[in-house]
Amino acid sequence: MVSEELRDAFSRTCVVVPAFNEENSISQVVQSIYEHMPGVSVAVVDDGSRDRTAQRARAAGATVLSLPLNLGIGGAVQTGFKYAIRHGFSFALQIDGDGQHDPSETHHLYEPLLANEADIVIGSRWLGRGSYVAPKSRRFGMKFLESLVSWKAGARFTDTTSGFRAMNEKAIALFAEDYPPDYPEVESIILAQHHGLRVVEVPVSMKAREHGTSSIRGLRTLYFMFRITIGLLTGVIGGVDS
Amino acid sequence: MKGYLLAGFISLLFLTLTVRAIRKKQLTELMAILWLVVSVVTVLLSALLPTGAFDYISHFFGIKYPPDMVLVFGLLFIVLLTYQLTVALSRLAARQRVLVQEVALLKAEMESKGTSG
Repeated sequence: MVSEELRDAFSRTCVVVPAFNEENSISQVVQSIYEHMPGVSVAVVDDGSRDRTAQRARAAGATVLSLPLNLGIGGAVQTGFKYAIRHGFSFALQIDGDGQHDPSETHHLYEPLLANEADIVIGSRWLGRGSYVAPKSRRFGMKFLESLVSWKAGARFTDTTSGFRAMNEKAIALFAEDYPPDYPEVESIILAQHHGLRVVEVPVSMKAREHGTSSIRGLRTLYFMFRITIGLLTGVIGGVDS
Repeated sequence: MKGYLLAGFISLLFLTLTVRAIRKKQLTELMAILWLVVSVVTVLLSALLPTGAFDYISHFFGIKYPPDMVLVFGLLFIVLLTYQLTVALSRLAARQRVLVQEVALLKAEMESKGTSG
């Protein structure tokens, strides 16, 4: 059952779904969002996919923001935030297009937002719910980022790379203006705090991805870690000013 | 000395190429000025080679072996130029990102107008 308060929040929510070559999962993701979040608007950001991601998303009833060039996850998600702010949405919910995040879990993200206890709520795999187990190779990196961000932020964060988040208008406005282009999940936490926004985590359960592979693997993992560490330590967050 | 002639010839050729590029507007103003200065300096240096002024200048900078002066300043120039280019490139990438996002947003707006009207 969806409460009256949640129903009202959904009607003012833009769900941002970044998708790059996700034709196998995107319809299901969009359908699942509409099913569990009645009244929301869904904006799928097609990050220059070469497959039928855009058509499938459109057929499932989503608004599709088609990037003519591949921008990477940060640039794609930011497009969604720009869309949300220009169309006057009060909330944005970010969900990956690969089916990893479960839309039926979104009410957990809304609780702190609606209670006005947070501006950004991140769904964490590691706070006790669900059974998600990360591949062994990734655990070290995740742990490392966790301590780095917790130290920088002065609060404990357990799932810094989670792209399952809900936010209010204040956060959407900030991210529409300034969002890290390359590996945004980690840096955006610090960026938001730097601007005085309240970022909290809530436990959610996640599934292992159903289709496709992570964009970060092999040597890229090392580059990813290096890049984020430098970004966090130097305070050089966000992109180059255009 | 054939070396001087060769250096002079190459410098003049470079100057001609630069002037041509500027006339064809292939360079931005800043880069045009930069390459013009570089061409003129190399032409002057080639002309100065036989006079011994080259040795004088390098000793002025405390460089004992005059050919090293070319390496030192050449390398410095290349590093600074590369730095400037990466800065410019990053700025272009950021600007391109904004444009790409705008295109996607405008396309979506047109589509929604097309279906509703």
